[in-house]
Amino acid sequence: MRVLVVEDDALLGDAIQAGLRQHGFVADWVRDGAAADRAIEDGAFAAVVLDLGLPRRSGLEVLARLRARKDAVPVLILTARDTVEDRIGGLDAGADDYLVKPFDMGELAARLRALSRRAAGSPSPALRVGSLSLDPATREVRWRGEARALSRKEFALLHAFMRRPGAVLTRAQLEEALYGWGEEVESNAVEVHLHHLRRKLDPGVVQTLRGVGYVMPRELA
Amino acid sequence: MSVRGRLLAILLGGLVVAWVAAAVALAVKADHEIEEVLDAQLAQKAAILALRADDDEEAIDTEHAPALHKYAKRLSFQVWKRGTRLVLHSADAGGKRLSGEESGFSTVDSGGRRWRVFSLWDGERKYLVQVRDSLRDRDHLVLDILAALAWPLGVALPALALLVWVSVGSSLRPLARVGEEIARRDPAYLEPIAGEVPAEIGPLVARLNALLARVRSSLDGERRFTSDAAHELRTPLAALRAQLQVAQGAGDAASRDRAIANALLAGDRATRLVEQLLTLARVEQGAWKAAAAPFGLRQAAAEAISQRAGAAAAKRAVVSLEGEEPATVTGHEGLAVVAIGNLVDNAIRYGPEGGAVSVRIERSGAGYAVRVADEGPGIPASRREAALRRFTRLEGAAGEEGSGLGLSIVSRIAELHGGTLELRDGPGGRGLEAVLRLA
Repeated sequence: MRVLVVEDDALLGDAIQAGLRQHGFVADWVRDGAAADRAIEDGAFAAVVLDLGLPRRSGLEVLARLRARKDAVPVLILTARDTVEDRIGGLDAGADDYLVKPFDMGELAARLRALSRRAAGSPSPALRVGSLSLDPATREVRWRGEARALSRKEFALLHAFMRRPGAVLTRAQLEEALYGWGEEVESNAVEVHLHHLRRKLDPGVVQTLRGVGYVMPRELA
Repeated sequence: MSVRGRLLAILLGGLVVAWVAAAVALAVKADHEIEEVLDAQLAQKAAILALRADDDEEAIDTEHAPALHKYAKRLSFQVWKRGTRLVLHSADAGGKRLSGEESGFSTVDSGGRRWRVFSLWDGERKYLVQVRDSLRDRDHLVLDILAALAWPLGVALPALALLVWVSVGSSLRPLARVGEEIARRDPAYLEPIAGEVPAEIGPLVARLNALLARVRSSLDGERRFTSDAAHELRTPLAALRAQLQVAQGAGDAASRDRAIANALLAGDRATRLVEQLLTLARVEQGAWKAAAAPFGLRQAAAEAISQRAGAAAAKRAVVSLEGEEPATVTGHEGLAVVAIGNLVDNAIRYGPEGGAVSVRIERSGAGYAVRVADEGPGIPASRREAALRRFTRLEGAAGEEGSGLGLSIVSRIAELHGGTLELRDGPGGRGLEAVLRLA
């Protein structure tokens, strides 16, 4: 699950990025409002962690602009401002959640999972497609009731498919889900990880549509 | 003394004095007029008696004249033939002649009383008519008049007192209301005093409201600052906590060490912010003002630079100090060291690795200027004013995390010394030069 971290403070931004990676997220980090604007416009993020006091363009402005573009990406405001008025202002400006500094890394990760879950329209924390289930919080994957151990990248890939079963995902979309900026994308990495997934679960969990992309069938038996 | 008491004393005292003056004037006038009227009455009575005595002395009632009026019997009379034989007299006149033989008015003491007597000879000097009345009765007349004047005063005085009491009370009620309003004010409630007040206390209330407004704005500033400061502390604390959690969850030693090193940096930043806040608090307290004394600016600059030797060495920055004079100014040397130190700090932090930081002290007007120049990116002219405000961190200072307080502290120290802080392009248009002027 790929998230964008918008934080101008170097030490805090670094910590959020590293902490979210530990929790299994792919995290990208920008340090000012204008860069955040561009990144959100370009990238396919499952959620955005947004600081409010940003140089060049305030967090609220970034939020207003992305909502004006009808971008529905879930936004979690992470700020030092903690008054009720600040929270109301942030939520009314289009944020989906609000967390005050200092915060617990585990809570931030859990809230981001919840945001993404709600955005996908799923009430249950675990994603389920047929007899395949995936719990983003515990990182547990079960196939026909049996737990299967997956690597971090395999898990991220499976998560991307399970959030949108039946949808065709291109190779580029899958690479985005697997790698943050600055991380080197290994060639044929998607194929390699897919190969492992099919081997560990079932050959039919992901089907290849030649020249188009990949799809997880809605019904998995 | 209360306003009410003063008004009562002045108004009632004035009324009594005015009344006494009126009474005295009236008494004098009444006394005079009564004398004239009653003297005329005496003369008239004497004339009538003289005529009747001439007509027929035997026919005159020897006992008394009828009491036609309450004042009539005051009058006693005698008619003397040839001045020696009493032929006629009123009952209370007695047989002794009332006065001497000369015609005209006279005042006589007799029987322990004072009398006014009028003597008249008839045309042929055959009869002497004497008529008298009591001076004491005349005095009673005057006293009666004065008494008539007294009772309205007896009523008017208490009525006036009551009127003053009530009207002063109602006139001063707005003052009492303003007093209650002021009593309701405290640091959390400094609203202006509203509502109608009499013109007399209007200026008082207006000035009070102006004072309240000043106090409120000053307190608001303090509160905003405290709140800003607390919020500013949250970010390094959040970074500290988050980095430590990253260290906890790190899978390998290298990333754990990196997170711990970052946590230490975040702790250092929180510490520096707290130190800057404490410095600002000490500067604002103003207690140092009593300790203001002449000191050498060059010595202060040397001290500030030597305190930053470690930071300069870490960035291989070359810090130079120019200016030969001791440059004596008046103020607090410790604060000057803080101010110059903050400028040198910024110059080292934002200057390039191995860059030059030049500190120059030179004459400027009546005082001296400390110029601190670096070779960093500088600050665009449009952002320089903002840079002096509290908690402003300028974008583009990548990798450097200031407290956002340094320049505002320097600016405040300059202000308190009657000096200024100016930011401008560095020598040759490169970097930033901060000019601190002190007198």
